Amino acid sequence: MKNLVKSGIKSNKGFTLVEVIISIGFLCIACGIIIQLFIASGEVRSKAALREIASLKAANAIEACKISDSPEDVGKDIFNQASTNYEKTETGYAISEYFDENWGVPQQGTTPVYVLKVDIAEVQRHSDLKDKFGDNDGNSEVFISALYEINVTTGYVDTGRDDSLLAEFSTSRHFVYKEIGE
Amino acid sequence: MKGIRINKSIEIFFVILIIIGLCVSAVVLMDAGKKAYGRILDNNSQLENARIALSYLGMRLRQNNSEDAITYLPSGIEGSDAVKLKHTGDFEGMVTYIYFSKGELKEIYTWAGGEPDPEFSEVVVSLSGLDIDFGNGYFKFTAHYTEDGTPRIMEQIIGVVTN
Repeated sequence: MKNLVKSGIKSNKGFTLVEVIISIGFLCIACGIIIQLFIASGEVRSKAALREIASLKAANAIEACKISDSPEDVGKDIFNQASTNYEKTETGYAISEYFDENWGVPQQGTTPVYVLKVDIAEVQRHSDLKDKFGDNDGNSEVFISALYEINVTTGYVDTGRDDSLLAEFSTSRHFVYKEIGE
Repeated sequence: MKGIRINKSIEIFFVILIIIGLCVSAVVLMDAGKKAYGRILDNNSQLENARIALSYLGMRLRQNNSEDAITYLPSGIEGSDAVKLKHTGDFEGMVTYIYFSKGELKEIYTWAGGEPDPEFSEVVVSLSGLDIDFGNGYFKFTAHYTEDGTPRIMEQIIGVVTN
């Protein structure tokens, strides 16, 4: 013990270059791990912000469905018509609005990054009421009363990604609207 | 013996040099970390405030979404667009004005007959900017915020029964 005290405490020997380099090496590895965690937390934050905006876009689409008079008119006032496709399906409509990386309207010639998809499908037809008088052009008006399932998704255009789906909402709405028939 | 002493001196010199280098890089790293963390916190807080503002507006409009209860007032208060909510039930006869002015979303709770006085306004949340638009039976709120200095917007659509 006495020897230890003598050699340890009273020794004037410092660290050798090799010892310092090894300890710095360990320190660098520890710092690397901490920086990796820091970067990972930043990525998680960015993803959370992205999902938040995607959810808001999907919620706005649901709201667009609520305020529309007919399934055909969904989002006509709200979605940017320059970057929106309307497609008639067997049971309803499929609407797709495209966005660039900043959730803006994609420039012409550029590939969109995000897409908002609204699927409106008729699930139950309540009535098909024909107006026997017709309109002035001789066409008859058909009043349709039906229940529609609405599914809204927001995600990456590239569906091959693991995280391609960012937000998904579903609802149903009863539409009563008129169609002009022959 | 002299050779060993010179070698020792060189080794000590390099050790001191490495430690100084380590200290300098640690300080630089800490400063960069501090700036990055400050930026992340600022981005978070701006995004959070924009979200709070939109959630608040959405909640207030949905709570009062009945016939003739919600009115859009273009340039209504302090030259800013405002939303007027007429209360019902226990709070019948009272109205709330919600508007954005000087970097703050504010509300004024007052009697239905009285003029809204901005002096009695209460701050809901501070944010970079907020646009209120109304048309075709829905309100469109656009909250502005910045992310790493880049201006960004967040939009919310709320359909209302009547204006």
